[in-house]
Amino acid sequence: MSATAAAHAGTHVHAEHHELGFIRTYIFSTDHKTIGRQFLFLGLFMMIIGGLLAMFVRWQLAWPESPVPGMTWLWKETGGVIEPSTYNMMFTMHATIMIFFVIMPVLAGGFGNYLIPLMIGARDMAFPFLNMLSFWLGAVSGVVMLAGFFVEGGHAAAGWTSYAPLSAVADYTGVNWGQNLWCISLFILGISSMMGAINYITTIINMRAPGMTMFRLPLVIWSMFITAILLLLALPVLTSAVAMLLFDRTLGTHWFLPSGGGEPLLWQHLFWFFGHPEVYILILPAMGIASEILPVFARKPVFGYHAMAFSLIGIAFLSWVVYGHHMFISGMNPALGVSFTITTMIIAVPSAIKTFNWLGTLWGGQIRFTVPMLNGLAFVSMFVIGGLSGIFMASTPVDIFIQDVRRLDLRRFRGDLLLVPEDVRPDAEHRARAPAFLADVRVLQPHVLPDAHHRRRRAHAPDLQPDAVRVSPAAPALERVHHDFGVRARAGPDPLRDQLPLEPVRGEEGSGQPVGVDHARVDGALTAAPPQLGPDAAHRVSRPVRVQLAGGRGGLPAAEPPAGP
Amino acid sequence: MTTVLAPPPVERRAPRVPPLPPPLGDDDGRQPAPAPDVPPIDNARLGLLFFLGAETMLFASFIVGFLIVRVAAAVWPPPLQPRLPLLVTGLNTLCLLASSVTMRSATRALRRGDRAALARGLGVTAALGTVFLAVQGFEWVRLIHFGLLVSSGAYGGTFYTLIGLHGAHVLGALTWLSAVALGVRSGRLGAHRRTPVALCAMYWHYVVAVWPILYVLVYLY
Ligand code: HEM
Ligand SMILES: [Cu+2]
Repeated sequence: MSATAAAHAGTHVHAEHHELGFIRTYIFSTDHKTIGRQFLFLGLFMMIIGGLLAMFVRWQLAWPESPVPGMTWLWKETGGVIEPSTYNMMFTMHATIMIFFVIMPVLAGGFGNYLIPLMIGARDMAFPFLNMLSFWLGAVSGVVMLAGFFVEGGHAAAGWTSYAPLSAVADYTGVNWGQNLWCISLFILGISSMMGAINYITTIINMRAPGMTMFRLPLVIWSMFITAILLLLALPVLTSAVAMLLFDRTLGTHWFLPSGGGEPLLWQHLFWFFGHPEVYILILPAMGIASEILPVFARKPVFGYHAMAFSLIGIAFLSWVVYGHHMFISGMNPALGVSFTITTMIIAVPSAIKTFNWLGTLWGGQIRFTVPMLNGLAFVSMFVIGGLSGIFMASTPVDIFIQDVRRLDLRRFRGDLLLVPEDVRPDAEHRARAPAFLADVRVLQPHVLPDAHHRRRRAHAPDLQPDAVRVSPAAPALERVHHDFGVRARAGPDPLRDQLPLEPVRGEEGSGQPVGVDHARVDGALTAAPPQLGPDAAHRVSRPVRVQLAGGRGGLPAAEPPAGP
Repeated sequence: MTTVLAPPPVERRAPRVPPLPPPLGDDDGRQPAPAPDVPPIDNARLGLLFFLGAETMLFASFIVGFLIVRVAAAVWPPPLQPRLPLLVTGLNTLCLLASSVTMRSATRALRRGDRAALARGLGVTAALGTVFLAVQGFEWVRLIHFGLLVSSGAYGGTFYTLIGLHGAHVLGALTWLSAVALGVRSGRLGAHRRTPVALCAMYWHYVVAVWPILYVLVYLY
């Protein structure tokens, strides 16, 4: 693809230079640098909110059922204690906000807008007005998302993955407009992302300066290009899924509700078909930034430029065919599971190429440990940990067996690395900020050091079962509730618990029961008359065996014959 | 009188960075073709093409969702639910396809610079689109009278969602088309400014092309 002169194709080249007013300069600006900064500040603002939510989650895990200092004014009835329903809302909204309103705006929106025209030698984006619209739609969707905290019933509480049918029926979580606003907000955000993606792709293809061939693009621009393609094609899938969910909740359609012939698993398919490309949308910009930082502070050109670009392309292709690795325990056909295992292992190859090329960049370089470099190195090492854990999770025998245990932290550890600020400024007050980097590492440490986390009050999987709910997994499925996060037993009348054969379980240490391995998940059947099972019935067969036994559509783990009348 | 001597030139060591690559040509010394000033596809068309890509993913997810629900159903349409109007919708399909043909004659006229024919073509296209929407709406009303509601199980829900999704797109395209047609009439658009007309035509063809797929899957299958 040949390059073209930006100035010619550029939008308007006025001879006279006229001043824009304050509003056009700072608020409704069409300048890519301003829009980039706007995205950055949107992301940072949302990060404060998401961070507060994370702190409440951690508080509840560390000191369950004890009042959060200074929060009595908000949770008056409970005297500052986080209610189970509030807890569900908090981890749901923490993940939603961090993924959609922090990482995406900051990395893709902020860095992308700021860097693309500058680095390819264009005057601005291809469609500056669309660019502005993209930001402001994103801001509107942020406002809609935040509005959900103030509606009756609280915000969405079905996890960031919002598995149906848990999310599709208001009574199941007790959340009505919160979940609706969640859908509407993500719908708007989908349109905003699509506008941004179209802009990025068109700009990179059409507006490069003369001589700036595709294979001379800085790697960070390559990563933005691939990110934009993934955004363009993945986000509409989420958009369609949230639209169906919203229709199920408000108009009474039955996309995900078996009671009307719908298919709950459809949600998982759509969500993860979007979801896996999404994780690459989150990480590719960071990979690009790392590919710029390492060469600078190793004083060497990046190793294997072409391999880096082609592995980005490879990742982009493969990311469409691996999504099933998120659904291994959904009861999918084991043969299908195997093919997803294989594709997932294959996607580790381009990922490994990138890692080795980063190492090759460092090899023999004159490494300077500036703050950007420390962050870059931390990125590479965390990606190694995350990628390796991903390979193990990709293999069904391992994944199914370790489902719901603390290794989730590895995933989260990998997720957190994206929050470590990356700094592309080559040489700035880095020494002063070295402590900040160390602080980041300190924060992440407990996630990976087993010693640190065993010192916590509750070992094993505390965050998965603050008060776990155990479900008797018997009886044929009418409506399956399968919730990845472990729904806490709610205080007071709980429609979910009333309809499912649930028993709240307190994971007591030393009780002989695994503390949170099997308890943490609601894997249940809604039946007209739930059969009465003994307290141990649910665990007579271990989960991996149950999953393997389960055959057929939506195979419910544990097709045990109901005991008793 | 004093002579101010310039300081002796400082002997600077060359920085230890590899020399910059030559401004053009790759590492093998090959010269790339000089960059054309006009890209092969202009920004607006390219942007619209990518937009259509996103639209395709949107339609594809709804269609796949529909197929998953549809294939899993034992009986389809479920008993006691009204059948869909095959014949009327079939004729309506022809009407929509015809609008694509008239749109094509309009763009031909645009290329010829025949303004009258262009305006006529756009007008007929918009009229056919309006007829299509009106018939769809009429059929919806009849179906609702027969008791097929959004909430009548997966059958009703998927039907109204899919057809409504397409209808919304036709409505959007129709609005765009009307704006373009008015522009042509007032002389703002035409042979001197073709791109807006061409883009609208592209989108129209896309929206028309999606319909037969939906017709086959939702009505005939
Ligand atoms: C080497 C490439 C990768 C492989 C092989 C891989 C593999 C996997 C697998 C198998 C799972 C499912 C685990 C389970 O639910 O049991 C998973 C989940 C996850 N992965 Fe990856 N992954 C890779 C890259 C990434 C990247 C780059 C990110 C984002 C930065 C990421 C973020 C996640 C997240 C957030 C989840 C959990 C999603 C959820 O259930 O909420 N992964 N990964
Ligand atoms: Cu994945």
